[in-house]
Amino acid sequence: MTKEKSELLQGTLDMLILKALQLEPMHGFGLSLRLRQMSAEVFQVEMGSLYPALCRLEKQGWIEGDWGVTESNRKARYYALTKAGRKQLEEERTQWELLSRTINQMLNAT
Amino acid sequence: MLFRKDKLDAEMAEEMRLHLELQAERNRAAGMDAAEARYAAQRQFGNVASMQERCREQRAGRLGVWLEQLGRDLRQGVRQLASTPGTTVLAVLSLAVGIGINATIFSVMDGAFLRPLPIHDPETIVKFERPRFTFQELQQLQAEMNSVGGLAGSWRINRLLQGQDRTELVPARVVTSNYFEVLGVAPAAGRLFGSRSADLAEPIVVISHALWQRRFGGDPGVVGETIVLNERPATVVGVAAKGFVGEDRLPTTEVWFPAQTSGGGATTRRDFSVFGRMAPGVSAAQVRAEAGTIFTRPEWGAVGANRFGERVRVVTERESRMDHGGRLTYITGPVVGLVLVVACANVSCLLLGRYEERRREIAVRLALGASRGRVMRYLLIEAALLAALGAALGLVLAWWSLRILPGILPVTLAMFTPDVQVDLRVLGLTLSLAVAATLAFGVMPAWRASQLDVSAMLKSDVGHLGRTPSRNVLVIAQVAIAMTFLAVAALFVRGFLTGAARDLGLGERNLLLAYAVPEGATRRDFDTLLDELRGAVAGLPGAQATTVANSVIGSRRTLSVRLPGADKAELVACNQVDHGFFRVVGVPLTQGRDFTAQDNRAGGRVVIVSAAMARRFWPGESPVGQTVFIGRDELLPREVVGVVGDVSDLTERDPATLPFFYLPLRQERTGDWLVIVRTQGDPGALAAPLRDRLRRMETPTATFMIETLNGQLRTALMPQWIGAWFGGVLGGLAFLLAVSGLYGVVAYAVARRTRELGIRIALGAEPRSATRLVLRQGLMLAGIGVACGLLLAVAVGAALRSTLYGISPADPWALAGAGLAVLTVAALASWLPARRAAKVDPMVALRAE
Repeated sequence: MTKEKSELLQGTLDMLILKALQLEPMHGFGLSLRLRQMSAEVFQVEMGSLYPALCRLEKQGWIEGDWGVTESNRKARYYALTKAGRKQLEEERTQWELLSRTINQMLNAT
Repeated sequence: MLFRKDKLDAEMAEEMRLHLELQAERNRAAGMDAAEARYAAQRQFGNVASMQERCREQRAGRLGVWLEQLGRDLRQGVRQLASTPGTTVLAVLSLAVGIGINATIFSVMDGAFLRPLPIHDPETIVKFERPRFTFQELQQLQAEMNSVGGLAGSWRINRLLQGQDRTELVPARVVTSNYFEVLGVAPAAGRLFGSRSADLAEPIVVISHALWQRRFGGDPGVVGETIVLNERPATVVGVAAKGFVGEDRLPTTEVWFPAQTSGGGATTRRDFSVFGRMAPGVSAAQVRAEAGTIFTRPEWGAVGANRFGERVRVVTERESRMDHGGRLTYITGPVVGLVLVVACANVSCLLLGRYEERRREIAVRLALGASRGRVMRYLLIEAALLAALGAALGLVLAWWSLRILPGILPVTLAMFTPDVQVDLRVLGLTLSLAVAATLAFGVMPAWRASQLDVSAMLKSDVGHLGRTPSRNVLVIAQVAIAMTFLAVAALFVRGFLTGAARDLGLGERNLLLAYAVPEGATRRDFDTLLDELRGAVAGLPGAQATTVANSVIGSRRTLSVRLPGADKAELVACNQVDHGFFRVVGVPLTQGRDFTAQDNRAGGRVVIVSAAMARRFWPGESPVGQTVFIGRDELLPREVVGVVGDVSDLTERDPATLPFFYLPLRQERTGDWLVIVRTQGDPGALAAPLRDRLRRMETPTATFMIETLNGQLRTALMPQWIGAWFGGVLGGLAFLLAVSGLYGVVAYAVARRTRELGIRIALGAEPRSATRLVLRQGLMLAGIGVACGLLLAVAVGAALRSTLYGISPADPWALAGAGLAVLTVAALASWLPARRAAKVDPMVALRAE
């Protein structure tokens, strides 16, 4: 693992998954590619974290899994954002913005 | 539910498979060949099984998964235990013995000392210990003390309860009329004493629940009935609550008399032990402070400090229990606990061996993604299962031994055995012991096993669960503990044998002793009754000679002895005997004459002294014909008519240093009659005919205890007897465990060194030398254990010196004997498996690798 790649901040993975699913339903592998692409290859998402996170989110009722077919005609489980999930994403985004703004202010303070 | 779970698992597997395929496709697109692409995908993905596990955790919540795994581990554990029945049975038995003996001893201790008394609010009872009070002093104290609400008192006596088929000695108490009120005890039947004046007029008693059950079968009709105690009839007015045996549990009380009915002397004599109930809201410290100020006043001088200089001590009910037996609990507890430690060490060894055999399975579990914690839990569950089985069996053992215990104990001890049962408290102790045992024997092996180096293990067969030192240390500790017990037991056995074999001063040992109570002994003519009794026994087939005395050896009385003209008296022990006593028991008459039937109240006042007494009071001259004042109020002197040999007082002291004298029974007229019969053969065989003959006398005579002289000597050597048994049983158990541990270690060493031994033999080593090699290891362990154990035994023996009966704690016979015995058995236990070393076939051993 090179230096530029960074571990995800604890607790942010759930929010990023929700964000990635905002546009369209995706399967696990697609999601992992998407997350990497979104972070411009900086974040390395461990599979060992991704799948348990999906289970967790599904149990919370924020995403919903359903079987579908990929472009290459394979059976795959697609995850879609639910209504509650959208609300949760908005909430987490607001909180995150507050948090990052505050931390930035603190770091920039002279 | 189960179906849904399987479906979800299948879906997840499908999902991950797709992930891998897509990743592999991508890798191929990036230019890898098919196989490489697949491996790379798997590497990138990580451990599928552990990920599935974590997904499941997310889904079901931690507790759900934990329970599910627990269920699986339990099933697996049961299967594992069932697959190796030999080891399992050995482990369960070890634990059952360890836990069982602890539960038994705890039950006894709990019943005797630890459990609070079955009275109302025992916390608020205080006792005024040691100095005793007269009834007036008790009442005065009651008037002066504000911190105590009610004061009551009692004193102990023993009474013979006469019955149709047997007469027994029952421990009784004379109590103030408010006794039961202050203690807050309810009647199980009838009523208890109240402050009613009617109680003072007629003789009444309250009996204990246990006596009620034993003698009257729990019949409520006993209330109002008359029982005969020491020939005096008394009416039973009630039965005390179940479990109540007095304000002290030991010795137990079975009959209570109200103080006023026991005769005029009771109120003026300083007899009462006093206790009281604290006033509401008062602490023991406040009572102590108030008592302190009261007892320093001059008018309390006689009670405040008795003639031994002991001061009144105010103790709570709890402190009193601890003073009496609590300390014993603190000693026996850890000692018995050691047996459990040995058992745990043994099971630890067994488990280490088992895990060693299963290290491949464990390694596979680790490799498949089980966390080390998970593996440890899985192994600990097996240990917990063993502990649970051991605890259950241990409880059964405890229950059983408590049932047979009263039967094995000598009569005198059994009388002091409280009402003991396996109850919730014992159950609680057993449970905590089981948990502690699991942790003690399970954690170390399980931790060892979970620390396996997986890759090394899977690549070859060389991985080992730690090294053997831990097992060696366990075995040494086991042998050492067992050795300590056995050596201490041997010291006690030596003490017991020395005590039993030493010269008591009695020439005869075949003596049968019967404590007899002639009906109406106080009313009938004393001399006639004695003659009738002697005549009845004399005709008994097998009886050689008969006499009557107060005791056969030792003394029940000590009287002051003063020479005419001397102003200081000395306390000397004595015995009351009828004529013929010295001939019957074999004490030589060295000067003068024996008593005769004419030495009665009508005859002259006479006394026979021991050689030691003669030396002390009349050094250098013959005592026969001399006069001496005996007893506090005696105005007339007694004439010494004879001198007899010295007799032991059943302690370690040399008989030649113990002055002793004999008074004629017919002049003293004490009620305690001990019929002494010298028999031709085994005196025990004559017990039943003797009892029968006494009953069928013209004046029916009841016997409440018949024992042989040797039986009485054993009773006197009770501390040694108990020490020998206690040490022997515990040591035997510990040693059995240690031997099986040693056997296991040596057998394991042979198994592990099979290849090495095979090579040695292939290279020309003699098979016997292979045996020697392994045997030496076993003997080394046993030797170290024995050495440590013997050193410990000397230390323990030094602490118990006073009960060893003249045996040095480093007694070479006891220590060498016990050490040799342990070494021999240890050698055998190592030799059996070591023999197998010689049978190692080099070809088989080398090919097996």
